[in-house]
Amino acid sequence: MDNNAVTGRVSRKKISWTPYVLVAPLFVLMLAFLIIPLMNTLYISFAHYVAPAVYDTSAITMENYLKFFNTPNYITTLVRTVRISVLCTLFCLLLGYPAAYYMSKLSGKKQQIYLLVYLAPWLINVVVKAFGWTLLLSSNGIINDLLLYLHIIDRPLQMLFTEGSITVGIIHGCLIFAVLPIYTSIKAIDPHLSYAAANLGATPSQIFFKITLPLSRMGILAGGLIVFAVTMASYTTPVLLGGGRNRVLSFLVYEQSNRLMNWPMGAAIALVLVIIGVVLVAAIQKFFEANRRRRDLME
Amino acid sequence: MELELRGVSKSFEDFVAVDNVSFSINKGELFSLLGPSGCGKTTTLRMIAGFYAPDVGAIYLNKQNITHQPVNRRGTAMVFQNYALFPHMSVYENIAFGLKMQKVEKSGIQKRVKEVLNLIQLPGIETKYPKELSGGMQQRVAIARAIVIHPEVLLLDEPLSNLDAKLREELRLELREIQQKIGITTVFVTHDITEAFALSDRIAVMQKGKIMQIGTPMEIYEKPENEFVGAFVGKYNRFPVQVLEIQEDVAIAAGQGNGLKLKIKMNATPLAVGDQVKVMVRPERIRLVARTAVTATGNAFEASVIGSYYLGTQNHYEVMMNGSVVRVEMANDGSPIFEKGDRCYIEWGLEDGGYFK
Amino acid sequence: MTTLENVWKGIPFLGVFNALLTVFMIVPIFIIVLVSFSPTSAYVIPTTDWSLRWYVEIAKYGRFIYGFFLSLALAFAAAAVATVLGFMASYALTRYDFKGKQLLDAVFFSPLTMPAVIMGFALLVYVSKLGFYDTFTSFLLAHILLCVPYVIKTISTSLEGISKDLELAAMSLGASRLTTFLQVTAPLAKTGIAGGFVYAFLVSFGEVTIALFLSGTKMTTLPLLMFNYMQDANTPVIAAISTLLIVFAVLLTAVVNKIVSLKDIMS
Repeated sequence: MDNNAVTGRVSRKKISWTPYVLVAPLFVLMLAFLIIPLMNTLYISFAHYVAPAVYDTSAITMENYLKFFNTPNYITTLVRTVRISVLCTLFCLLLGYPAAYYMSKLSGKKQQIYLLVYLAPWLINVVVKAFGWTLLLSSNGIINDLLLYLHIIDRPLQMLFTEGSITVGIIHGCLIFAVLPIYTSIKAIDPHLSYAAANLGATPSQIFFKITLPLSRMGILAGGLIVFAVTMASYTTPVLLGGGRNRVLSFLVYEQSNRLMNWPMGAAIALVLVIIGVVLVAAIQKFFEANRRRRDLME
Repeated sequence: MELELRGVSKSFEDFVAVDNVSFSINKGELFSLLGPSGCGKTTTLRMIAGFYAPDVGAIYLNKQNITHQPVNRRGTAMVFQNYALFPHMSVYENIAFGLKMQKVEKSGIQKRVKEVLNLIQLPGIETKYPKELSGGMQQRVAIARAIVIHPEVLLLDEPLSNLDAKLREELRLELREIQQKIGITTVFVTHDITEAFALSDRIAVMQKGKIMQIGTPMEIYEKPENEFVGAFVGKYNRFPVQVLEIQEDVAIAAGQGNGLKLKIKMNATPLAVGDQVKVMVRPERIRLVARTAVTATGNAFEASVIGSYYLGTQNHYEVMMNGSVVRVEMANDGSPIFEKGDRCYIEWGLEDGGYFK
Repeated sequence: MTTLENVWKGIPFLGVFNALLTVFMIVPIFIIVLVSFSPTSAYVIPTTDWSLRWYVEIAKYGRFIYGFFLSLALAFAAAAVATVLGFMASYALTRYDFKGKQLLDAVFFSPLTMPAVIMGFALLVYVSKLGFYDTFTSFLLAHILLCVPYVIKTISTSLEGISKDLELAAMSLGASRLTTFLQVTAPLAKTGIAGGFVYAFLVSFGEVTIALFLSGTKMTTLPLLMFNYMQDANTPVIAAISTLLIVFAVLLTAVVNKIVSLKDIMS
C-alpha cells in the first residue's frame, strides 16, 4: 500500500517504510566505514602523541594544531598548496571558458569529439598522466631534447620537480571540471537573447560581455570551486611532478600517518586540509547561491 | 450508481487541491471534470485511480469502499495525457500487459488484443514499438490498453491535449463511439469546453478545488448556477442591476445610474426588492432588429451599432446600449446585416436571460 | 543564416586557441604511447626502430601481473556491490520523498567532495585498530564507498528519465509494485545500471591515494605499483604498461559512451 511511493507525496496518514529499507544497507556501510572513521579522526586530532601508531586520548589537547601553525615548514607547505590551488583555478577558468564557449557552438558530432578530448585525461590513470608529463618535462625529456636540438637553449631547463610542473599537471587533469559547468551554463542561456540584443544594436563582443558572460557566472563559480577543491586535495600529481622539495598539504598527511606514524598530527593536518578544501568551498558556494536566490527573487 | 465520491478533500502541504468534492456517476455514463488549470480535476481523477489517498472523504465503486485500495486492485484503468506507453514493449506487449496481470491465458490474450485493435481501427500493428507510432496512434493504443482489461471505470486524463486540433476532433468522436459501444463508465478530465460538451453525458465544473455545478451540457450552459460557471462555459453579457419591484414571477430591476430597466424572470432563487443582482444574457440569445415588436414579454432597448464582424456562418455585433457595450451574435440567415453606426433595437425574451446574486 | 551564427567564428583566435589546447591535452598521452615502443632502455621516441620489447618485458614483472589481476578483481567486486547498493539508494532518492532525504543525499555523495587523503587516513587508523589492515576487505569497503556516488549519479539520471507515469500505468493495469519494478522500471534503467557499473569500475581500477594509505606488503594494486615504480626504477616498461592501460580505459569508455551519455552525468 505505497500510494506515496508512487507519487512521491508524503501522505499525512501513513509513512512508507520502503525508502528507508532501500537506503539502509548503504547508510549502515557508510556509517561504519566512513562516518565513524572520520569522527574518529576528528577525535584523534585532539589526542596526544605517545609513540608510532600509539596515542593518548585521555585529555583534549590542541598541541597538534598549535604545532602545525608554529612550524614554518608546515606553514610554507600550506601556503604553497593554497597558492597552487588558486593558480590552477585561475588557469582552468581562463582556459576553460573559451574551450567551453567554443564547444557550445559546435554541432553534435564535433561536440562529442571535443568532449572526449577534454574528458580523456580524466579517464586515464592519474599516475600515467603524471608519467606523461615527466617524459615531457624532465631534463632529458622531450621538450628539453627538442629545444636543445633547435639550439634555443644550451643547457636543459629545470621544468620538472617545480611548482610549475605540478600546476601544469593538475590543470591537465582538472580542465574538464571547469569546462563542463561553464559549458552547461552557457548552453542554458536562451539563444533568443542574443538575437534580441543584436536586434537592438549590440555588437558581438557586447553581446558576449553583457549577456553571455554574466549569465554564465554560476557555471564559472561552480567550475572554479570544483577545481580549487580538487587541487587542494590532490596527492599523486604533486608528489610525482613536484618531488620532495615541493610538498603539498596532502603529502604531509601521508608523511605523518605512514612514515612518522604520528597519528594525532596526521589527523590535525587532515582536518586543516578539509576545512580549507571542503568547508570553505561549501561556504562560498552557499553564500553565492543564497545571494543569487535573493537577487532572483527581487528581480 | 457506479462510482461515488463523498466529501473528498486533499491538500498538499498548504495548498488545498480538492475541497469537499462529492458526486455520483451512473453506469455507462461519460462524466467530465471540467475546469481551468489548477482547479483540482486531475487530483480528483488520481484519487479515483488510487495514486493519491484523500485526506478526508470516501470513494465508492459499486457500493464498495475503495478509498484505500491499492492502485493495482481497484477496477479502474487510466489513460494518461502523455500516453505512458511502455517504450521497451511492442504494441502487443503493451496491450497484453494488463491481461497478463489478470492471468488470462495466452490464446485469450491474443484474441482480445486483436479485438481491441480492431475496435480502435488499427489492426495489424502488434509488432510495432511506441516510438514508431504517431501521436494519434499512440493515444489509441493507450486507450486500447486500458479498455482491454474490462475495467469497471475508465479514467482519462486530458488524453487529447497533446494532439493537434484536427486530430483532436477526430479522436474525440471515436472515443465517444467506443465508449458508448462498450458501455463503460468513464470519467474524463479536460479544460476544453467544446470537448467536454461534445463527449459528456454530464459535466462537473470545478474551480479552486470545489465543484461549482454538476449537470448535463445543456443545463450548465443554459442554466448556470453561479457566475463562474456562466462565464467559464461561454460568453455572456452582464448587467448589474437592483430590483425595484416584483410582479408575480417577474422582477423589474434598474441599473445604477444608466437608466437601464430590465425584466427578469425569477427561477429557483427568489428575489426581493432591493436585491443587487447580475443579469446574464448570452450573445446568441439577443436579437438585433430594426424595429422591435417586443413589449411586456421581453426586454427591448434602443442601441447603436459600434462594431460589426462578418464571420461567415455568423455575424457578431457590438452595440452600445444605455452606456454599456453589449455583444450580440446572430446566425447568418440571409437577413440584412447591420453596419457600424446603424441605429437599431436589441431584444431578448424573459426566458433568454439568467441572474446571479 | 544570420550573421549571429557566425559571430563566434569571427573570433579568429578561438579556433586556433582550441587547437592548441587540444594539443596540450593529448600530447602527454601520445608521448607515452610513442615511448613505449622505444628500442632502448632510455625514454626516446622511436623514429626508425620501433620495438615491442618492453611489452614483452612486462611478462617478466610478475608483480605487475599480480597487481593487474588484483586491481581487476577489486574493481569488479567493488563496482558490483556499489551498483547494487547505489541502485537501491538511487531508487529511493528519485522516487520517494521522505524525511532526511537531503541529508542522506549529502552523506552518500560525501566521498566525492572529500580529499582522498583524509579518507585514506581515516580508514588507515580505523582498520589498523580493528585489525584488518592491508586486507582485500579493507580495500573493498573503501572502494565501494568511493564508487557509490558515481553510481548513484548515473542511475539517478537514468531513473529520472523514466516517467513516473509509466509505473503508475503499470500499476493501474494491475501490476504489483514488485512486478512493476521488474517488468517496467528495471529494463528501462538497465543502461543507467550498466553505465554506473562501468564508471565505478574505472574509478576503482585507477585509484591510487587510498591504496597508498591502506596497503602494506600484500595489497599492491596496479596503480600503486606504478606509482612506486615511477619514483624508483626507470625503464620504458612502465610506458608499455601505461599504454595498455590507456587502451583499456579508452575501450571501456567507448563502450560506456554508447550506453550512456557521459556528458549528462558529469554535471
